[in-house]
Amino acid sequence: MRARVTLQIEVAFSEPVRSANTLLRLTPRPFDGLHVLDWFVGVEPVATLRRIEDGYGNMSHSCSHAGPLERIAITAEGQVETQDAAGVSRGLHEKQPLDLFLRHSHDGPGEEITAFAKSVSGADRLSRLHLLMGALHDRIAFAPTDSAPRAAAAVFAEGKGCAREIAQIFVTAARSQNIPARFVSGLLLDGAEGAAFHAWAEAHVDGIGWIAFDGALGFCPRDVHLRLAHGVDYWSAAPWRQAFSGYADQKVETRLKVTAARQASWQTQQ
Amino acid sequence: MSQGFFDEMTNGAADPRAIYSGVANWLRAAPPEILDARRDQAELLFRKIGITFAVYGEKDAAERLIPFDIIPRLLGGDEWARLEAGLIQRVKALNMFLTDIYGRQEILKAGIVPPDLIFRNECYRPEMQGHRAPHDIWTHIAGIDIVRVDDEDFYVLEDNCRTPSGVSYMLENREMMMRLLPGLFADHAVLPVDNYPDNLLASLRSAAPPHCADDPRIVILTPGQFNSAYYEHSFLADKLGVELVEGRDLTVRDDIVYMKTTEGEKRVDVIYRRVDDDFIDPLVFRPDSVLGAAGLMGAYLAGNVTLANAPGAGVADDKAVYTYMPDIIRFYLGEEAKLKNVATWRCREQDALKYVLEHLSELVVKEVNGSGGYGMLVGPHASKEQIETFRQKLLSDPDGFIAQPTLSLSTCPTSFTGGVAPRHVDLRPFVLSGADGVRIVPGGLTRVALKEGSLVVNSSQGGGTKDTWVLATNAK
Repeated sequence: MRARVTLQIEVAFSEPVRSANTLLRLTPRPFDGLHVLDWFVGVEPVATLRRIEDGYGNMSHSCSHAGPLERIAITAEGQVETQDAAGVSRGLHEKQPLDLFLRHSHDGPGEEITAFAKSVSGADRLSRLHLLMGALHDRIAFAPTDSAPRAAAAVFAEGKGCAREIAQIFVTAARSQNIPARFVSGLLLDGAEGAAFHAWAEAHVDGIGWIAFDGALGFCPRDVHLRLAHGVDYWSAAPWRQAFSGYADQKVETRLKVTAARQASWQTQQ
Repeated sequence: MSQGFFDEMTNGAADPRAIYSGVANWLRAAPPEILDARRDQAELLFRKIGITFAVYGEKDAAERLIPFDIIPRLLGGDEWARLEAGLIQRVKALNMFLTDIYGRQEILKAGIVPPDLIFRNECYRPEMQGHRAPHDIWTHIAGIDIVRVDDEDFYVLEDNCRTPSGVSYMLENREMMMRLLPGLFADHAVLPVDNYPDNLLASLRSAAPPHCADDPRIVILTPGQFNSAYYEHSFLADKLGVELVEGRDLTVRDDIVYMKTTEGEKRVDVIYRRVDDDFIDPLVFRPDSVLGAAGLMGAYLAGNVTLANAPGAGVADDKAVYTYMPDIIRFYLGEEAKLKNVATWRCREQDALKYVLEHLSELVVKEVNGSGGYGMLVGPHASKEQIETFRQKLLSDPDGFIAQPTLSLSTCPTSFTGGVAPRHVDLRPFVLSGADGVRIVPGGLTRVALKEGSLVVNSSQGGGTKDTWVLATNAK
């Protein structure tokens, strides 16, 4: 599908802060399932945005603001064309080996998630991953939120979580079965999330490559998923991170506007 | 004398080894009251100076004194020369290994080190991939733990490439000895260690970003006064004549690090950080950290500031990577390792695991990522329950452990109320790497296991320290 996407993040501080540093991963990188026609990232008050490809191959921007500062507005906007690639993320610039995506967090996968992942069996790795996604979808109720994600084990025990938390459980579960898996952050173009940001997971299957699994929605990402970044966990793939110095409460408002553009390829337009 | 151990003073003979003759004579001649008095004075002085450390996980031990033993540990000039050459070789290889791991990864392609050992290690930082540390120096300050089992060989017990501590004790112990036992000190041609701060400063200066002006501004970044090594951080800042800062004193603007001072902001070029990777930048690593500075990694990756040691250096001091050090040295330098490695079973390998499980009561089992003597099993000294607990740990996570034979660590005479007795020791020399080469002062921190028969020298586990005298004269 072809769409014009406008994402806005508004940060308001209850008191003016002395300074703020921001890291953005809001620039989609094209791959077989994604054609980026144009893309723009901006920040207000105006600051130099320094572009850097991070260790995973994501395109990131960083900026700093000197205070006194009451609000920061971030905009990412552009036109993209997504294709249903049955979830396969092929054609990305891969900078890290599969082994990295088998790494466990410090406290390990936890017994419950390991047992859960173990209980899902399939004819081969691919079908097993599909079943894992389905089982996770049934097991964890999807409750969208934009607040910081909690630990996978805790969310699993509670049985309710946001897309990022469910993605993290999928990653943890897959790794516990020695399947390379990584965290992906992105946007949903059909507005189904109810929150601005969405997240899913990718797992690696030999012979095919990285395949995306959306445990929150219960299906493999199709053309409504716009992929922004991936990493070993949520924090390394987070679409934006910010730290400020000063005594203030931070209120964040995110808005995502998607206008479907006419289905057309470049060729027919010309 | 304890049986079966190399005693550095006597080597099991009736007469002391030549370099120890002065110390042996002194011990024979000095009345016990003198030794007792010197011990009390040492403790009093340390309390006055306020050299303390905190033991994590212990309630009443926020500020504990590391016991100091007044009998020096001696090394001959010839012994030191061998050790020094081995240390220089090892640290060169460690820096080349890190450059390679975060660069072309030739050693992995050559099949020398298994890739999963690197990439599944939490200390491997994907953020650093493709980045070259300034001057290809990753571990500016390395602490290499050394043990002896006879009068010939030195063995490396572990490499510490992150933020090794203890150098303040090396320096304070020397001051203490010169005050307490000036006569004994004067009778020996002891090589000086007091130029360590100058060496450290020179190394850090040389490691400044290439574009930096003549006089780089250096700071020491501490997690703060609740850190177990805070004393050392402030001690070093004082000796180096540089600012001691906490994360909140730094600010990063447009990829440049500034220190807030009463005269406004000053640009910072080199940060000797005693804060772990996880905490140095809340934008990149742990978001809840207040110990670092937001944007620091951005400034580092942009080449505007040097972090010593470099982020991600910890992947080289993993205890499983350690087992490959002889191969690593051969791969990069084309030389055989001058310092030996302790024989190690990698529990990740089936046969090794089997052997280890069958011999738990004889072996020392260590967590691959552990440090400070935590998470360790000393088989011969462990209870049945402890062994059983470790058996379960090993079975559930074999990759997380290595095992080594219980080494017959050498012993040195140690003074106690009521006499002198041999106790096991190790040695941590501090190796400095700069753009202009490697610097080591002759000596290091000798740690001593004060409990009779104990082999664990870590200060968090009841170890003490001694002054290490490297003599101008040879042992043989």
